[in-house]
Amino acid sequence: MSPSGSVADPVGEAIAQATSGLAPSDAAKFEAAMRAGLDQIGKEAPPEALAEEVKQAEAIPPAERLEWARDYAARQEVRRLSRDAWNLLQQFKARSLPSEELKQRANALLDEATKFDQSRLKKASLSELRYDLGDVEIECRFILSGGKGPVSLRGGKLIK
Amino acid sequence: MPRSSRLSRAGVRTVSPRPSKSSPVPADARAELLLRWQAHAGNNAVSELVEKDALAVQRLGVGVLPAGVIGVGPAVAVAAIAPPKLKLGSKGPAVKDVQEKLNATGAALIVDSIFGGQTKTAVMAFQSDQGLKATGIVDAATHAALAAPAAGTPAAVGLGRYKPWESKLRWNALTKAERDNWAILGWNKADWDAHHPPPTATKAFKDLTPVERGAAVRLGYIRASWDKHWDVASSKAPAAYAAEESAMKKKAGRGVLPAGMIGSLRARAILDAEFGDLATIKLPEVHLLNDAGMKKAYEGFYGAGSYPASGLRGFQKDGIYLNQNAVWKGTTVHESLHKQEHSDWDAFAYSPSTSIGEGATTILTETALTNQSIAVTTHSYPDEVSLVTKMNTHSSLDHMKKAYFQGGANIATYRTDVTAGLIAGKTWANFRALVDAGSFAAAKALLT
Repeated sequence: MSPSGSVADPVGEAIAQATSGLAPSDAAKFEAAMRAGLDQIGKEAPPEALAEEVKQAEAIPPAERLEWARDYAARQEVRRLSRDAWNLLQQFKARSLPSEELKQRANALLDEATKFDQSRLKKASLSELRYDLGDVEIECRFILSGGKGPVSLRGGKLIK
Repeated sequence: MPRSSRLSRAGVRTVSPRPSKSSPVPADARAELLLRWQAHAGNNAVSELVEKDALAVQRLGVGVLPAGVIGVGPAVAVAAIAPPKLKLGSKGPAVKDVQEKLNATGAALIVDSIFGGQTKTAVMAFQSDQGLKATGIVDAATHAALAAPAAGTPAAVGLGRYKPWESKLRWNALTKAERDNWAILGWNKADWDAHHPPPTATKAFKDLTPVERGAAVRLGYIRASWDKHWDVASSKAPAAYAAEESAMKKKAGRGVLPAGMIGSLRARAILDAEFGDLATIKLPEVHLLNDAGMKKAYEGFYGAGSYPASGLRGFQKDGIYLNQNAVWKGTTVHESLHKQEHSDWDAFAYSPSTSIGEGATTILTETALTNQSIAVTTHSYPDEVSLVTKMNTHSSLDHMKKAYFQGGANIATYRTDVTAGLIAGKTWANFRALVDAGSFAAAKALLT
């Protein structure tokens, strides 16, 4: 606790709380998965916000918490890919990046999306998010086509 | 006996007589017709018409339009001509215009610019509603009626199933589903057969309860057709909804589409019923493709082997293309709702993230379906819905709806409401940053 009363490491604190009932090896794996998921969240989110993400685990039965954390990490990665594609699409529309740089980023993101291992997602998450991965790919390809090809449904709204 | 008298005796509404084809049309009215024709059919259509039928032009009379009004062809100075007849087999922008106008009166047509059998049926129904001879041909009188359709009377609600007009449909001749829906709207056998409308028949659509609105939609009404008592047009709509949905199923193959999948025509009626007081509902062009079709279309643009391993829920390219294996029964309603978003809402909800927009669209989809007594079994975008639901505890669904459909000051109101619900010391910028960073749990935690 800091002199002002705020927690010095709110994420660490929240992880300690969420792993209190887990075996040490599972606790370590939980923390690794959780931190990998939190890394996918934008830098705008302060530690207190990230701690709120971790606190969601407390509603999950301890026996399922590690699996939940792994799924959480994979879900956050898909969401981050989706955000990156959306941001890139906005930059394409606004012409705010040099064409070559835009294409490089689109290629890199496309590569990342195609290599994403979908088996990391639990069945329910896969059914919810798999098409977000498809959207990432089509948005990258749309940018690479110079805006000539088809685009995702959400991209269609932006580009209209 | 004149037809209008027969209708009166039967208790069916009468309408003002339309000018007959032989009635002289005042020159100003002819010029107005021509201008209207130009507006919806375009300069080329007007020019072609004038050039092709100079004799007709002479018969109708000649006047001078303001310079540049027509602007093409040798007949620029000709001011008066009626729009051409449209009938089975006609095609082009004039047909499209008629289809759109028929839809505004309660018809349920795919707007494809082709005058086919369904358009003919809709024209006949409209003509019946307007007290015109039901020929299925759009003549001058029908054009004029489409431009300013006359309302019927409340006594006609539920009595519009006269075919021909002289024979009336008894309560027992209705299907059970129809009787059930009319019963929800206050009718019973005795009143129906005696042509005594219940109080519900005189209620404005906006004053119907959600359950009554659902019944009205199932009977084929949209807001305008209910309020104006265009009952014959409405009576044809359910068959059109079913025909579109049946064609969708047939095209997809047995068992591919989810049970109860809503077609675009029914989606328009549902959205009009639920949100027609806030926006004029526009119908998107929605196509369903199977996996092979999606892959073929995609790879046609992006090359062999490019189709995502995860599949694709749909794409947009001169219309909306949906993967029929990725839809649920409310998908068309959801995607049609996106079409109604005000541009201010787009800027508010989609830039830079899509979270608020998808959450709101899903909430509105589920609200509409629930009000229509359509069970919602698939919940899309659960995290986004959870976020916007929390936002709405500090504003309201009504404020969100107005922001969504009408933008402008409603956006500011909605945002102010949500901001007022933040914990002490936090701002809209703090909240929005978390939403855009993908930290929904943290964003929600900022709201008291």
